[in-house]
Amino acid sequence: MVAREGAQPGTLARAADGPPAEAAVAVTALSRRFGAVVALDQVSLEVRRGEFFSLLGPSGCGKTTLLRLIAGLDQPDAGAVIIGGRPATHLPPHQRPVNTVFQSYALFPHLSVRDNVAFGLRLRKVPAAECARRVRAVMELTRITELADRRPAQLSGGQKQRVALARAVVNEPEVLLLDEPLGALDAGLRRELRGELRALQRRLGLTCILVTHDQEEALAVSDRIGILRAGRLEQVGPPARLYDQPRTRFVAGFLGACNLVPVLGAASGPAGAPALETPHGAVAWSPAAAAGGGPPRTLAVRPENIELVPAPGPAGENGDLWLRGQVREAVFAGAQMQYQIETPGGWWRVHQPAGQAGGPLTAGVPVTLRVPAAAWRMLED
Amino acid sequence: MLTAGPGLLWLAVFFYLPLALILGVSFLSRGELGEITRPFTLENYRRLLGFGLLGFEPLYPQILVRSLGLGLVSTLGCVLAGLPLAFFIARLPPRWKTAALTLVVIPFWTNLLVRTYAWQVLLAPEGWLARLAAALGLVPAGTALYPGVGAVLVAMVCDFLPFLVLPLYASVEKVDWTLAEAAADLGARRWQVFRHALLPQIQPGLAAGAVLVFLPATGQFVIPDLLGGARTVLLGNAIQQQFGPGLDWPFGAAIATVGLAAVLAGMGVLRRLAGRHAGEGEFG
Repeated sequence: MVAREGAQPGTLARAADGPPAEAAVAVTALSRRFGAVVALDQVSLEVRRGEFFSLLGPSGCGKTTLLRLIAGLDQPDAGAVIIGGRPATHLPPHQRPVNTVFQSYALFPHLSVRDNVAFGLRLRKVPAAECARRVRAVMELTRITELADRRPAQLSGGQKQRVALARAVVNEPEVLLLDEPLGALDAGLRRELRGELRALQRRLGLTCILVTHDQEEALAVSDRIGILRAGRLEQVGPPARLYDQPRTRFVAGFLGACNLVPVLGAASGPAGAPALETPHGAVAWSPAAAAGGGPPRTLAVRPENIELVPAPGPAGENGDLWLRGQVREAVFAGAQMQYQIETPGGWWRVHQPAGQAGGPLTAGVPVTLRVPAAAWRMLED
Repeated sequence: MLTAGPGLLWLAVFFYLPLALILGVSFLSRGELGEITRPFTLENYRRLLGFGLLGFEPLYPQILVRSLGLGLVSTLGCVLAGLPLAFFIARLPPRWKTAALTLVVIPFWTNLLVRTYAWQVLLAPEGWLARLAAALGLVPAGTALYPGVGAVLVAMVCDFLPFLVLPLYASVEKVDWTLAEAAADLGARRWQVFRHALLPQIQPGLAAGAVLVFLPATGQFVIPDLLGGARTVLLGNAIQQQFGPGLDWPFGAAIATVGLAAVLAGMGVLRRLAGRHAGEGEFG
């Protein structure tokens, strides 16, 4: 459980009754088909209590379907949903201890902001005094107090988002489900609100599942990320690990920029050490580390892990790869310079911190790339 | 203003002027031969309230209440039948929607009298509905299902259903279903989802449809006449009686005026009821 410092006693803090089950939500072998389309294929996943978990993937990957199955707004064709340790696969949505922030916000247009926020509590017949107190507390937390008497039509996008969040959070759900909650907002506001969302989640000790297609957003707010592709969970892990140790080509390409290098076959490096043959030369490889046993088909290097140096160093030393090339494109991206560099074996993307000695390189300049041995990642397909 | 001119003129000549005439006539007297004469009098309204030549006899208040009751119950029946129908049609695949709406409208292509006589056939002792009812043990075999209140209501609801379904359907079509999901997500049961998330959205169409049914249903007398038996006197045939065989136009005009006022009041009540459903923060 995450500490809930600052939560007003008795307002938002949940009673810590019952044994603290490790998983707030567990889904096992969950499948959902729409006609011939398999939206979700045998997905199993556990989200821990107090965790901020993101489901990340391109549109149509099944992430919203998974969220709707957890909320009970849709029924799976196979598999089980367990919420707070209790089976919930066939529970109707109103009996599940989860609340959703919808992408379109889905605020009730005929109700004021205050009545929207109070909606869930009134349905559950929470006494009026307590209801008013909790609504007030949440409206303060989400900074919508001064909007209390307005109708949704009189709110801006960011304000609606806050109201939708307050309307869900006030019910103290075991799991807060967020369906692209920031998708309709402009970039600046999105960044601001996702920070607030994360702070609120920490402060209340909420368990959150966020659906997003924005990798930057997922990396910034999540404790763990699950990457979905075509209805299957491709990889699950903390943001830094997913970024640094992508398991598949898809994950490597989806999270940040990546240089993908095809493997042509096995080769022998200096002194007979096992190596992989690539268009750029041999790359050291340890068969023991390969999960599948055989050599990987693709290698990856993050653009920021490549160094640009004035002249080639001693070849073969520590297994570093030295490549000669020419800058074809140089893009200034604020904190960094992004280069496209052509080498005999193919093109490379290289990111260097801006403002380095010697100034930014310009197109046409010859350079030497150093790809450190430690920068290589072996990918499954 | 220029474009509103012809419309206003049309309304004035063909609607407000006749209405004013009716109102005026209702304060005049009936002559020996049934002509409209002076003096101005409140006698028609006194008679309407039940103070006739033979002392107090609340015949007309009863007619008024009976008519309003019939209108209200018919409206209620149409709402109960029309709500599921409108939702059903709205959720059909697009190409079936047109077909379904056409089916709703088809009865309009037939004259009201023909439709009502058709009900007599359907509800007659040898009709299949009566046989079905007898087979189910609801009535003794060989019994006609009309005349009676039930037959009148069935025919009224069937006749006026399209007036309710069409405007209601237009509202249901535009319903934002994510609001229903949001309500369920926040803990609403099926009925509460309807009450708090759907009803406020369809309220305009429902109110418009209810008014469209209530108005003609209150004035309706052909159906009760043909299916109700026992010659129930309602607003419609009371007025017709005075303007026709009774030759008492001033009294007929008074009935019409009071009927109009009562219907307007009933609409106000309907609107108030419907408006409260869309009211803010109300839970029950």
